[in-house]
Amino acid sequence: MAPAAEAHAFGIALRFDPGLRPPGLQAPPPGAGAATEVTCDPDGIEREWADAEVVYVDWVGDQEHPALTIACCAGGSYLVSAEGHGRAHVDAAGLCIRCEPDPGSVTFPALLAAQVLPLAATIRGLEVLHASGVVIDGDAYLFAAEPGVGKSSLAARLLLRGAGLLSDDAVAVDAGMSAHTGSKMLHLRSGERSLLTPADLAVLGPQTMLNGRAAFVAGAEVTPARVRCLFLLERTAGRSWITPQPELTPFALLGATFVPSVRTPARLERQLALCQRLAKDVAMFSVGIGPHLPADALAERLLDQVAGASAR
Amino acid sequence: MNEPFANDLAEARFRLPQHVVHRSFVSETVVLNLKTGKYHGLNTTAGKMLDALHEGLTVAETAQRLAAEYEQDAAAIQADVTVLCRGLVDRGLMEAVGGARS
Repeated sequence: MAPAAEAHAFGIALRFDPGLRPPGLQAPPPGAGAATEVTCDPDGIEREWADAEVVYVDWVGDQEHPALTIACCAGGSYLVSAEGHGRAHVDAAGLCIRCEPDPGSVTFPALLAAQVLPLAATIRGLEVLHASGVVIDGDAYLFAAEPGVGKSSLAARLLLRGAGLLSDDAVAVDAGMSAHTGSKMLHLRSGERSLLTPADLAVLGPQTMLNGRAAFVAGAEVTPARVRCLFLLERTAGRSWITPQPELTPFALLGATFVPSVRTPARLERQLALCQRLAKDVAMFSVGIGPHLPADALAERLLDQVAGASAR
Repeated sequence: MNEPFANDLAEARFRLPQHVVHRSFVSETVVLNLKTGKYHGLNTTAGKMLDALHEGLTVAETAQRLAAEYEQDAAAIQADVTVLCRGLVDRGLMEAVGGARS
């Protein structure tokens, strides 16, 4: 039997049963701490969940036929279910993930990376933001936005300019304000992918297709880095802008969470405290992306902003 | 709109219960009820009132502090503090200390 695979993502150490480890996760550093065990254990899920008292269920997509559900039980554990992919039970401590891939599913590891591991990290005390993140000269720069605005395209362009990838969709921040790598899979829509040159593709790394999008295992390993700037991106019909936002509403920061399903008092209080620290210690910018501003040009403008922030 | 000045609350003290936390930001203060998971936003002035009350100042002392800071009439501010206290108590975000009537 192949050995279990160890990894480190979203600020937590992980140990996977064979076949479950998602691509794009970094190896654990020395002294990484207690590992969350990720096992293939359908019987264990039945045992843990059959009599669970469900307190609430969050869902993504249509409520009648949701693409994803996350159920929380009174004992503090969670069940993540996605039709066509499988389901996973996360215990109340975030230290045990029991998995049941759907028969024939090849996308279950992607579900783990996209939803289950961020949930476990949140239970274990980190805050996961819905943001892409890169490391430039040892500092972390995060880009929060609604899906489809262009986080991944921007991250790709910054990688091509020498940045290191933390994640293209979900970045974990610890109490010390350091940002950690998530999955280093970079997903690009076909339009952005078509703009890349062969030299660009060589930089971005090995490519596969996943859910109709090009997926790259992107870039060299990066170590956790202190958050320096947070950019809030939005699409605009008019001119583009990059504006400092020292008075960003705290509810915009609270709304940038990737994991709304963990609603324990301890987590809510921790999340609010982190948002206060972000607002106080991190330079914030509002970014409007006009229809004629490609990701390449946006990356250049943001790097100019980053250089300006570093000089202060 | 201010309520009529309430003499009986002038010496009252209020505090946040254990299940309520608050954090100040540049433009507002967020108050979070950990039992319900609901968030409430206070403007900067109300946030300063909350900070003073949370420090243990009476309603009157809170008004005096803000009156000095804003160079405004203390009686008018005290009425505003009273309204704030009643609103927060009604929402379960604040409780009277020592049996003071609210």
